[in-house]
Amino acid sequence: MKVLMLTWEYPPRIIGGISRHVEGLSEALVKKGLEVHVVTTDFPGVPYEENVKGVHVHRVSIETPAPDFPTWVLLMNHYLVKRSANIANSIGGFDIIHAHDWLVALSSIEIKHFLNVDLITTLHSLEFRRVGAISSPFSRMIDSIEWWSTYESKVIIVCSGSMKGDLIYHFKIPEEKIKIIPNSIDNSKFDIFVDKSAVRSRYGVYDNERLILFIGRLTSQKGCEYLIRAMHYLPSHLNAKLIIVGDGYMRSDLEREVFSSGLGWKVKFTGFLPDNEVIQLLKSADVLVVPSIYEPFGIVALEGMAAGVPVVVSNVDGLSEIIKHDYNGVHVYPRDPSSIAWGINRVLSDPNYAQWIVKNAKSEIYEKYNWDFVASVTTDLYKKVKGKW
Amino acid sequence: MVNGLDIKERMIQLLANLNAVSFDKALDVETLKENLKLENGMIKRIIMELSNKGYLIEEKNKVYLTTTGIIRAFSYYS
Repeated sequence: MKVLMLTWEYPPRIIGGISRHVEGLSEALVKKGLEVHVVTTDFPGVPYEENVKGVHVHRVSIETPAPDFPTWVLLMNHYLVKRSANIANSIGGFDIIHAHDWLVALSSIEIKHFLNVDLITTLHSLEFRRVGAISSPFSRMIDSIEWWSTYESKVIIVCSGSMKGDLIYHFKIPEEKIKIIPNSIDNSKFDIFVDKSAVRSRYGVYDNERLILFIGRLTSQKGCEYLIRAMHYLPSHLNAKLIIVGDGYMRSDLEREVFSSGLGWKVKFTGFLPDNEVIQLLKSADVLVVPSIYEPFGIVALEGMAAGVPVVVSNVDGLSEIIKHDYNGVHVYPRDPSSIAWGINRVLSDPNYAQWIVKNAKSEIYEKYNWDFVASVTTDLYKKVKGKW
Repeated sequence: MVNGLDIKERMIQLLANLNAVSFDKALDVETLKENLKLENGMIKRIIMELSNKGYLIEEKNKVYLTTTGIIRAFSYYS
């Protein structure tokens, strides 16, 4: 079976969670014997054409300058269509098109009609939840494209029950058209030895101090400001420092808040870090906090579980489904610094409790979240859509 | 929405939308200045600040985004 995978990001271009998701899924599908062609956008220093672990990766350059982002997206979709058509001509077409999110919806719909091939779309999040309300012209456009992609697709894949509920509520999509397939991670990446003391000292955290870790884009959706404010509520004897990994449009505001509130010596911003460094930090941290306001899945929580670090998460959406309170992690209230501080304190002040939730998290992640399982379910879905089930 | 962003963020977005991601696709400082309606001193200061943070490179009076800058620009929409 030949699969055309459409995505606006693929490693090393890692903007959000879609990139790693499509990489993990594509590589696992290849192991199941499928021929996978990923068509995506280019990134400096990376070949336009390459085969990575059996996945055919085709990168397109968006040569035409755009006056704004919506126009950039339209142009990107044009180049994705053009490259996909070339590939289809050279390999004799595709059996299925699998698109990821609204950003590539237009190209996926166009290719579907040209090639007369079934389309499946994975929606990784929804605009009405990202922005809270569909009010700006830009949000109206995205919301409309998201609906259009659900209409044109034979099946919509979502990563959590909460996402499924959002789709049914917002777009009135028939339940049977939606399939929940969870996200996953490559657990083997975390099976490495790490000199925790050396890693921590690189970030100015010493042996008598506790390392609280945040990993994510610095955008309002991720709720990092509430974690920063939680630092004021932590008991001083915990001697805790917060390391913030990631970047985004809110970074300057967050840095200003940290310094103006006297937390400068306790909070460090690292910016984007390479994967191997993030894994080393995860394995060296005392607690990982995911304070998101909206999180359809929350892959970073899985990474924390795999790394063996206790995880404290906002009790929202997909995070509530992955993390069970007082079993494999801790739930706190979203947008509530005192609740976040309570969750951190709960983990840091009771090492036996922390060990217990880490043990539960580790066993669960190996059972429930692996790419082999995700690829099996996805392959079955492709076959069902193609009528070969 | 992007219009509501501060001037540094607008510069990053402008470079990303215009595909200024390598020296051969770079924008000259004068074009940036006109598009963002900035004074000479201000544009130099912002370019230096964003360059020090690793988001862009200024070379021969032209400006383009680094890989970190590209990710930063598009993370707004992810």
